[in-house]
Amino acid sequence: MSFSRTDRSRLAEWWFTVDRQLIVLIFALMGAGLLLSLAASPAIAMKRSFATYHFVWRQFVFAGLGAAVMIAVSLLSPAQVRRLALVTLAASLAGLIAVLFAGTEINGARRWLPILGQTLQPSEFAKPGFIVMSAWLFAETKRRPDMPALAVACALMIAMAVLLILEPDFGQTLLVGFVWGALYVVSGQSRIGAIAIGAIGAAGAGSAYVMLPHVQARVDRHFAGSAGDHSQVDRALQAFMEGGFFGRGPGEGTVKIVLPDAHTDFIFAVLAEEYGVLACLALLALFAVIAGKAVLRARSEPDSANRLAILGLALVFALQALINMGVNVGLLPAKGMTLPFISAGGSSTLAVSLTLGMLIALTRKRTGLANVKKPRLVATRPSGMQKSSANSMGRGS
Amino acid sequence: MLILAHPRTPSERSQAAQPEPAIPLPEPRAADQVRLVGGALSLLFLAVAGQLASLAWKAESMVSAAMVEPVATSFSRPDIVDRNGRLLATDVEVHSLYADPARVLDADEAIEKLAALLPGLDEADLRKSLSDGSKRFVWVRRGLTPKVAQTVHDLGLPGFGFRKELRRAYPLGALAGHVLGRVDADNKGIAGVEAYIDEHVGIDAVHATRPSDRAPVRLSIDMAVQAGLEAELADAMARYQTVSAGALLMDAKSGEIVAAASLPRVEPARAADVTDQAKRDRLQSGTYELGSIFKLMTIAMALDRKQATLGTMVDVRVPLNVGRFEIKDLHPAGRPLSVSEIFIHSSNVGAAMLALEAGTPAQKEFLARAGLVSEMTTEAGTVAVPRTPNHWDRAETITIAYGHGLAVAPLQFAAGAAALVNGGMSVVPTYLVRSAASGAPPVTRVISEATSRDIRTLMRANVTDASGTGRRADVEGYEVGGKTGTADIAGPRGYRQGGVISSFFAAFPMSSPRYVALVLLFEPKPSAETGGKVLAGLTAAPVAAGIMRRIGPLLDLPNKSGAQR
Repeated sequence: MSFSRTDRSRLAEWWFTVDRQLIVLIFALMGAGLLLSLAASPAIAMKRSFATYHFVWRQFVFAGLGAAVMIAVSLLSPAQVRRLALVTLAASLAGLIAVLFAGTEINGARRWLPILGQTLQPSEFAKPGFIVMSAWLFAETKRRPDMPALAVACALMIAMAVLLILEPDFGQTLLVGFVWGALYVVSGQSRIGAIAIGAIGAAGAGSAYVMLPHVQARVDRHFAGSAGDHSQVDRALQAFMEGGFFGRGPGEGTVKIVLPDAHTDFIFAVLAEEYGVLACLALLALFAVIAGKAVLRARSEPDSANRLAILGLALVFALQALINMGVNVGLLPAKGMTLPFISAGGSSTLAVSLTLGMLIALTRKRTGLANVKKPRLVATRPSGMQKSSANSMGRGS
Repeated sequence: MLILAHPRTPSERSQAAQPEPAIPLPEPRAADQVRLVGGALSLLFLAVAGQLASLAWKAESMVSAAMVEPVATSFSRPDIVDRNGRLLATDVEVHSLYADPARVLDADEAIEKLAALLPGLDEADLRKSLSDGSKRFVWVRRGLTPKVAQTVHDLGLPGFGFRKELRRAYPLGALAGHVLGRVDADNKGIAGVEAYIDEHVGIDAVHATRPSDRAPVRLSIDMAVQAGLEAELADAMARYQTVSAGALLMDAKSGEIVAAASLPRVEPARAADVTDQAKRDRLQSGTYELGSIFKLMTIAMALDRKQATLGTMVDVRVPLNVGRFEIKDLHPAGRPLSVSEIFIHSSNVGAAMLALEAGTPAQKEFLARAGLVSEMTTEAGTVAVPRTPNHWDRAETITIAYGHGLAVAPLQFAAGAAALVNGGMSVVPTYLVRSAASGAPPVTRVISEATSRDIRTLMRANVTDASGTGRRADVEGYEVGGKTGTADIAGPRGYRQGGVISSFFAAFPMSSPRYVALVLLFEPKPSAETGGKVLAGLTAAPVAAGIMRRIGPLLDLPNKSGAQR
């Protein structure tokens, strides 16, 4: 692509303001996902009597859709991102309610909503909207303490947790709760509140352990070492050992034949067995660099709502990857969590695209008209001009 | 993409017109926030990276050691050798044929060609597994010989392949089959000494078909003695038309079992053999009421309690009543008998009266001391648990006195009886050679030295006495002593008519016994040779003599009479 600096079109503006390295890295991640879908999913497709490349085609289609969604969202301004977040959050919450009544039950959980012959997982789409809205609410507690922003943020968290637990989906509850808690802490709320929230979270996790046999069983099995039946995780771990640093070679893997979730939850083990632990480390580094670039970008973001949103989106993206990989390498108890862009699954791919689209949009260098309003805003502050200069092209260019 | 974009908004209303608030806590600096989130994420990424590296490092440093058995693993087992180091079991490399159904081009052609080479191939079953495209690996036939494997290989069937595996081989076939046990298709022990090896010696998961470098497991069994004993027993089984037969030879002091056989024999390599009920191990995995050889226990108890001496006279003329049954002797003496005579004539009434005099608690205590009511384990597996009467009172005391009402595994009885002749110390039976390293198990005193001497005198007299029930067991030069037992077999409703367990417990040389032997014939049929009778003195005793005559020269024994060794 090539644009003139004088081109004031939206696309040209986007091209000059966006973090192009970040986009390249994200497309590299998508490419890795497509490559790996070739490794893992034909075995699963054959086992489930689909056409051999059923999941591969789906992965390509959803990657294309996801890329479009991501670029489209990344064109938005921060305010538009917030509006989009509000819309997707409202729609997802409605979906989360609907899923309780009309959801498809798989393995005892209602997480999937059948729409137009496809199934959608509202909890995946709820995450980016929830985080951006929470970030805005936390920022509002500082900017406009007269508004009940903190109360609304808490209510939102409770609503989200209740809906997710009703499905039930404890992994997502933990993930969303953790990111929300992190935003609470870094947005500088009261320490007593942080301790209280930590205690509530611990109590929630504890009661899930005590009251739910399958949670207890999984956690116990994880910490009991090799005793008992946790063959999926054992088999995955074995894949890492069999693969060694350099792998057995493409197509030489066996774990994908054995594990029922080889194309989703355990794709990291498939990567390890066929391409080796060095490839796993490279993929891990890719996630780390994407999240790290976003987090570092947050340092120069003047608007606290945007900053918190960037941190929250980067966190949810990185944590989801970390939880998936942590389960694969045996650091965490077995938990179904997809690896962003790598695991097969339409909802996950589109939701991650939405997340990263918002992240790209928020990390864009703010130039042009978007900055014109800033002086007006800060002019009412007696403390002065700490936010930005009046020069429309000045900051960040 | 542009079409999807929203129109630009001129301003953000949410940020407009902020009043000056009284902020309770200052907003943290952006750098601090970033440091907090970035630091936490870095730690988490490093944790996963560290775990990844350590897994790969582990894999590099021990290639063959997997946490669970990998797909292509065999297990290598240590060899099993007899007490003289002669091979009883070892691993050999075999070729196992598998198929990848997804890659088989023409299943029908493949099945047809394979069926011609592999007799007994279940074609329908193979067709079913080959048509299941979801499977990527099915075994077709495991353990092919190199020649057959080569022929199959030369067929050039796509989708079929070989894996080399280790398979257990028993070069002596069925010899000591019950003791050796069995391994499964993955070369893991599931019965007998093979299972003991898995649990206590160790086997190694191997990717290659590398034979074990562990030291061989040395059994106490002597291959030659075992072979002689099995041959004599097979003769006896044919001669007396028995259902089955069992015999064992055990070191009277150390408990090392030199030979142990239960017929019909099993071939460890044949799974069908091992699961065949008719071929079960009679010595260890079943309990039986052994009859009169139990009088050894009763008389040893009476002598050890000093309630009687060998010369004490007991009036056996009065029949004993137990409920509606009357206890009688087979050949009533019609006069009071001494304790010696009770033993030699095998008087039920006499044994019962001695037991009654001792009382039920004393009997229970003695049998417990002799190890006949507790659980026992050998390297060949768990010994069948003794069946004691639910209600153990006067009637049971009487019947147990002559060997009915308490069922024990023959091996357990032999160990208990060995203590009566070896000077009075308990014996722990074993199928392994007791070395200085393994040490001797703790033993306890069962009876006094003096009582053991008396029992030896009685057993020897029972063989030398012209009217002794064991006289047909005498083998010149070995100073044999023993006791016969002819036990009715307990059925679901009382005792069966006709069928008996004929047994002989022997020890030799009697002045200082080195070995004890137990011979059991299950349901021998009467014949002209036995005068139409199935009494142990006419069946089990001569079989015991035959075994001792045959294996005696193989044992390290002083020969007192100068008979040929």
